[in-house]
Amino acid sequence: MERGDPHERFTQLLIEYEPQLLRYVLVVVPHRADARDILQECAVALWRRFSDYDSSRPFVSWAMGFVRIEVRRFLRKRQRRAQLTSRAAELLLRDNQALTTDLDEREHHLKFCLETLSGDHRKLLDGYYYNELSVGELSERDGRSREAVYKMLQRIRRALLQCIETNMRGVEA
Amino acid sequence: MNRHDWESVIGRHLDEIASAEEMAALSEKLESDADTRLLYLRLAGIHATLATRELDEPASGEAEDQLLDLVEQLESFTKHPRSRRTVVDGQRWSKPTFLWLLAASAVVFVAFSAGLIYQLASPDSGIAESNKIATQPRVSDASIARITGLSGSLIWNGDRGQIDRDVKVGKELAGGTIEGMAPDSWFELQFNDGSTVMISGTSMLTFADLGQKTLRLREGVFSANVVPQPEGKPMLIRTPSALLEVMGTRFDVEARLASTMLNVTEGTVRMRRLSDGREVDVTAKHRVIADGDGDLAPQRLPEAVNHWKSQLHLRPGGYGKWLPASERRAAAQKAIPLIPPDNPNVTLYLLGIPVSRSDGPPVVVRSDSRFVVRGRLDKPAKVYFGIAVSGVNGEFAGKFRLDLESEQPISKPDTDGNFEVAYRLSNFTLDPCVRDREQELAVRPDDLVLTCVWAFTHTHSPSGLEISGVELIPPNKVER
Repeated sequence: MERGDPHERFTQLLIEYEPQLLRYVLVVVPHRADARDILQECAVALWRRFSDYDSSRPFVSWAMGFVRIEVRRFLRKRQRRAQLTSRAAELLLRDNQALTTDLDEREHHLKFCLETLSGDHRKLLDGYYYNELSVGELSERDGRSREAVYKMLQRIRRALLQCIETNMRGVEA
Repeated sequence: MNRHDWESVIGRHLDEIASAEEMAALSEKLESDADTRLLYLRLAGIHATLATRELDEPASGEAEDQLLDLVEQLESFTKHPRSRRTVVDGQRWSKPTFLWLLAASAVVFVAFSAGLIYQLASPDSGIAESNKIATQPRVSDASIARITGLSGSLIWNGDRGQIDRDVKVGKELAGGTIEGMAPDSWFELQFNDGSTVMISGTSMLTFADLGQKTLRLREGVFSANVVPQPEGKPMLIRTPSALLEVMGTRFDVEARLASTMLNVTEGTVRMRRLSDGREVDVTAKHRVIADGDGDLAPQRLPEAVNHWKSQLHLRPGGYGKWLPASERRAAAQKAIPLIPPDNPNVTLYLLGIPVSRSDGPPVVVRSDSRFVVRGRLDKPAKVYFGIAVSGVNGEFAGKFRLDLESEQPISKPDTDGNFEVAYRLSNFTLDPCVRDREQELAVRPDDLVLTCVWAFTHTHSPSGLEISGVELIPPNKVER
């Protein structure tokens, strides 16, 4: 049903699934610049092999294979900061793929849970994730120690997880 | 180490401050313990989702040059594929959104050959020369649509990550994602060719038009009136479970996690079920539901009914927290806090229940109908009650509330916390949030299709509002 130029088809698919592929990488390589590098390599590989893509199959499933290869390659060669072992990453990627069934629902609850955060917590998350401020910059901006900022980020993520789980249980019960 | 300790180590890893020893211990634990892997994936999933939204932001300042460079690289790659990696490896961006640039430039490249750059970049000045691209507006900045109506809590997320909670009628958009945050949310968009699309309730729609309209309805209710599209470039609408191809027609869609329901009012829409690739053409006044591997045969739209009763014992409502039935009380939908984007100092406790959305018939309200609402409150409170209605073709027709015309009495729960209140449709008036479009909307909700009911309290602390049942009772019918 989807016709037209291969470039255009590739473009549409990539635009649509870019966030999903990024999330997949970020789960095992949390450093954002590293994740971008991996995806950059992956996009080139996908582009090169796009003629092999069978459009009757889901694009993401096809692309995930390339992502896994690039993640493995990255973990083998990058030593500038401590990383997970390849084996641990492989198991996480495998398990993560099995968890995609409730991903949309979890994101829905995450959005709601974000709305329930206090102003301070929301401001910290916005600074860290959306404005990409470093922990040092956030520490200066908010007048807190670096350790306090790290701990607060951890507490917020933990609280978000708890909120999501509570809401999921509420719906499933 | 206990779970709490592992949470800390995972957190330190996500924030890139874990030591080599901690990473070795974490890796070992992940390799041997499925529960810790699950914990890791849940926490890392939150990190990844938040970080991905950030990654959608634009590369500041350098986008035009990068786009131009990349177009040249793509041309080079197309002519000399083997040189591609060298070129790409030599180019890194500080905040790249590399894929977006790659994709956008591919479109520009395609547009060159198709002559579409004329429409995309410079619609009034003839075909643009390639060396002028950097001085023209970016392709992604070219307006493709205009907001023609909205109400309720909405967030617009631009195609490069900017978030706008203050969207207004008349705003020109170049694509992005619009999200209805509450059951009373409603949004209408008109593309440059006159096609209109609308979402209502808690919905999320991503839209783009790079020579072909491409939309993604992640969840919620969507209606469209599509003018004939260019040959070979139908409007494409993706949902989690289906792909729709539209050339020019009127229809509405409801997307849920596991199913997509399509109602066609005029013309024909082609639906492909993503799970097995099966396709079906759905003609006027027919409906099809794509879910799992069930029957994909279109069914004739059922006749309208005037009586409706919520079925919270069978399934959750659309907004709020669903409380299943227990031995001591009926199933209910519980209100959850909502902070209106335009009034952050207010916290409403809101719930919503969709009506004409399932595979049942459309529910039409008659002028002398009444609503009976049963529920629970922790303390006496005014329970504000409202409805949304649409025309028979699915077009938004208005939102109406009772409490505006007459003084809304405070609902007092009995000793068990239960309350019951009746609302007469004859007392409903247009909701203030859509009064700026009064001329285009219905004066009364009579004889229109009921799409959603909602209720909220506006108190300084949680009211504990739960609704266990809503019934629309037509004239001359005895309450059940």
